[in-house]
Amino acid sequence: MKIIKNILSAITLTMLFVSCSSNNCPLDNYVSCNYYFYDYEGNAVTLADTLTVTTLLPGYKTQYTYSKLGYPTVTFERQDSTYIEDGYSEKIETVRKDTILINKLTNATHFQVPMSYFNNEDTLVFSYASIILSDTIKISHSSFPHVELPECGTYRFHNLKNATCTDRYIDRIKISNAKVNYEGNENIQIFFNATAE
Amino acid sequence: MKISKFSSMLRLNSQATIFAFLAFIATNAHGQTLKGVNAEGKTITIDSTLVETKNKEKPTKWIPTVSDVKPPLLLFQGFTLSVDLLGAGMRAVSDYGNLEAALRLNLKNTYFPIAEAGYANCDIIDDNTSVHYQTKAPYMRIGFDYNILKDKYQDNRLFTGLRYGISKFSYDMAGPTMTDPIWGGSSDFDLTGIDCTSHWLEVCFGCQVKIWGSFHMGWSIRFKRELSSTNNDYAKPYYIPGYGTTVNSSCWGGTYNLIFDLNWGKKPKRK
Repeated sequence: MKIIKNILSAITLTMLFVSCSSNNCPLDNYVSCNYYFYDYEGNAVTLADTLTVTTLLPGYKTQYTYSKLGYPTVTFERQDSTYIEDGYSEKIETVRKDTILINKLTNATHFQVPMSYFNNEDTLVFSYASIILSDTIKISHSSFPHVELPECGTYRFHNLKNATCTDRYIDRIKISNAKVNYEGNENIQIFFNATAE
Repeated sequence: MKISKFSSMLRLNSQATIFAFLAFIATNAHGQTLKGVNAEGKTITIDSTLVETKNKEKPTKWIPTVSDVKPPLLLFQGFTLSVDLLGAGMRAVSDYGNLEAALRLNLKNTYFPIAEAGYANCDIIDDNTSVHYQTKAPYMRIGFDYNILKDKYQDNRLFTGLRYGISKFSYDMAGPTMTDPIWGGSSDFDLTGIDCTSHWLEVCFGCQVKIWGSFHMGWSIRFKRELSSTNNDYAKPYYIPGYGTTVNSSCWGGTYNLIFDLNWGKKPKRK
């Protein structure tokens, strides 16, 4: 009986120090601002056009363009002398540091793009395949760091303040959820100048 | 004459023979030592006093005597002071721990209203993310224990109980420099003095045994559930003093106590 008591005591003491380890971080941890498409009347639509979203970045960069008659023109951010040896002509120019966030999106109901960590305003340029003109969206926001658990690392969350747009293809935009995090909620509604068929 | 009559009965099976033999002796040879022959032909000697004992009627219910009845327990039996050794040990070997003491009233050796207070600290750096969390603050719990042992007079106790805990604390969180991969720029991640108040409930089970004199030792395991904590956009507390880590909305904890039992009045001696 005494032996059983000692064994039970040892097991109980051991269990006090046993612990399990697991990762409790969110699986979908991509912080993005989610834009959803609607028609003029407010119906959710699938965009039939091809959409490219470019964001304006502060500052400029040097761009190298190589062209040759009968060959496609190529552009690099650094010089490549092999093209000159192959007979290409080189054009060096200073351009804005803009970058493409969404490239040729088709048949989509929504898209998601990141937001700047330290700027107060993001500018997105919408280019369409069907028309030459483009739309520009400006999103004012504040950003702050966020930690769920130390093991999950650091994130940058945002609070949307204001949204404006041009009116070529877009009729209006509306902030539906100002909190931008990794929960995947709809944040901005884009209403196009068309109705769903 | 009687013996020969008895001998003829022994021709039956042995068990029946023995009972018949005893019955015969009881009715015909009270207070004497008699001899007989069993089925195998062996001589048997029976003391008639054994037969009397066998046939005596036994009581079917235990009726306590005056000396068995224990005096009623006083309502206020004193109080106990205890310190938690497990929390102090955890602090020595891990990133967090606590120093805790408790004052517990003893009512009839059955009900034990209790107040626990302590000071906890946590200083942890995650190896993978290099995020640093730090806090140190007091906490308090109130509740009661109930001695579930049937015998309330003994010094050993087996408890089940409930606690409500609260801690008002502030914590710091720091991490590696954050760099924007698209728009550029970087900033230090350093949050200090985030205020938070947390509330939680605990269901506990434990025991204590007498070691020497008024000293007891005991342990308890506790299931804890966080009720609420102050929301903050920047971070949520990783460790709540007195509660533990907040990886889930509930957690397990425990104590290993050194207990000093101060009894009020004379404790009735157990017979």
